[in-house]
Amino acid sequence: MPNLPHITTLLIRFWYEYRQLWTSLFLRDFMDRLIYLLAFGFGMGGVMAASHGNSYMAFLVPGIASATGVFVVTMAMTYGVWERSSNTHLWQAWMATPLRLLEIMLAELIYASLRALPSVVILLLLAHFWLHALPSLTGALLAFPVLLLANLAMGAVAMCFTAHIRRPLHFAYVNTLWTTPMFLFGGTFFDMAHAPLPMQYLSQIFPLTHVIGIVRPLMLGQPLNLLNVATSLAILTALTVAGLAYAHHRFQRRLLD
Amino acid sequence: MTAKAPLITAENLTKTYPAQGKAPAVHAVQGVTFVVQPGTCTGLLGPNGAGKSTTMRMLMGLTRKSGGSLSIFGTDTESLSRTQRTRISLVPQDDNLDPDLTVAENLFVYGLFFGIARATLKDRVPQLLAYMQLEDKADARVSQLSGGMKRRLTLARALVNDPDLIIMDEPTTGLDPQARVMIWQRVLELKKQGKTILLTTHYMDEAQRLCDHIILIDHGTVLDEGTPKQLIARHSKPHVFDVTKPVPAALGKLKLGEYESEDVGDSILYYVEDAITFRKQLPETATYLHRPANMEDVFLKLTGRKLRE
Repeated sequence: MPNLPHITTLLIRFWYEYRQLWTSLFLRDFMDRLIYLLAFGFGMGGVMAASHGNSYMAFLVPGIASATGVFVVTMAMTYGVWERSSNTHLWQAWMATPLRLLEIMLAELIYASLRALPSVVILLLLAHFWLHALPSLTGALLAFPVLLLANLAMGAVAMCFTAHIRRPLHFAYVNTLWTTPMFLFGGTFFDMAHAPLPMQYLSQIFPLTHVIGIVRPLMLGQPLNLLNVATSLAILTALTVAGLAYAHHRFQRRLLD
Repeated sequence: MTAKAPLITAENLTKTYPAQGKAPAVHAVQGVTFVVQPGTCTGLLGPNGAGKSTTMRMLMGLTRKSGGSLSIFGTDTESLSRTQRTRISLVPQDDNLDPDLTVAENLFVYGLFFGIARATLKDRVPQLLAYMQLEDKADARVSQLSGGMKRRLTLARALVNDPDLIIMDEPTTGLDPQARVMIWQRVLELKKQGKTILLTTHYMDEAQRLCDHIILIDHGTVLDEGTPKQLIARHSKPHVFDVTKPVPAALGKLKLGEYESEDVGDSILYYVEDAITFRKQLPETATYLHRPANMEDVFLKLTGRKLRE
């Protein structure tokens, strides 16, 4: 069983790292999201009609907020984890202490998932006070635990890629097969309900689809379908647990056998 | 002297790395048996690929053994408790310091991993930096350190938990003579404090100087073990004459050719029991160096001169 104090000490280590790198990390995370929001919000928003009394910008804000994790967490769980597990061998240095592999993986995942959130906070504040495109601040607040869970799920899946590949060159597949389709088919920009049925089914495999399904109505102040919420939360939880278990199994074989 | 329980016991230890794709399985360790007594410095020597690092990795729980038994403090290495693990430290062959932290943070954070209180670490980290002559570098990044400084920091990191057992994998490889001497002094001081040290090295002078007990391994098996003196006495004549070529024809009754010798290129090494008799046979024109036999002679005799990967 993972030991909580061990994970906490690793999170302190990540905090030290973040403290030194936060300006570049935060700015990159935030600017990327802001560019998408402004470009699509004003660009597409100009040609799209408002629906259910909400502007396209208001539709887009929860999508972009949810998609932040897709990029931030995936980057951290692919290149970042590769760097420390297989390049600088920092994981091995940590495993020479009482820390265990699973604890290291959990700390990496938790840190990356949390790290993606500050830029979302700023983005949402801008959306509310400047763009007037975030109707429910309470809903936004409630969305954060869901965003965190979704980040964990996306990170766990990304870590499976990292545990699988032999060369960092192969991370190109992560973009092509996972990040890009998830960003575009996961409901960030469009409601997938208008898409052909096979595409709708495809979109269900992406964690992003499930987090947007909960977070969008929350932020728009719309009623939630509790069955859908429960299903989505269950899927996100299952992805987290299964992804971690599989990545742990693979890393154990690579690093310990 | 009463025999204490050994701190490390390896019995018939084996490690096979499974075949990967076209690469065949590697039998890195093939039935190694040895013990390490508490409070001693034990050297694990062997050519590259002999199985030293794999053995150390198994000791640290960084790789799983394939067979046999391996225990520290009488407990199997794969079931060591968290408390037991806080009593062991590793100085790995390649420095794996944390590039995202400062020098002082590297020690502080590593100490936290061992469950050491922040207050204790606030005192201990500056002490360790001073001990390793790194106090000026406390706020530097790891990338700003020289090779020798990185090595000293790695050694400081291994002391942050005040361990009983320190495993050092080639602690002085690639260091300048000053840094090597400094690390030797520290190792000897640690031994005086009663710590147990298991080290590998390719420097036979280092092994002879630091180790109470030496285990020579090659091709994954133990070739011989003992104190440096015992090993030298067992495997070499006490004197070595390094005679520069061309070696003159022998004078007197005994021919030079009757001595055990080895051609090392520009000179020939003669392994000799009776130095006085031998020297008498050398013509006055001969250029030679007379030295006592050392661990290097033993090492080359037991493992051969063929180059390894």
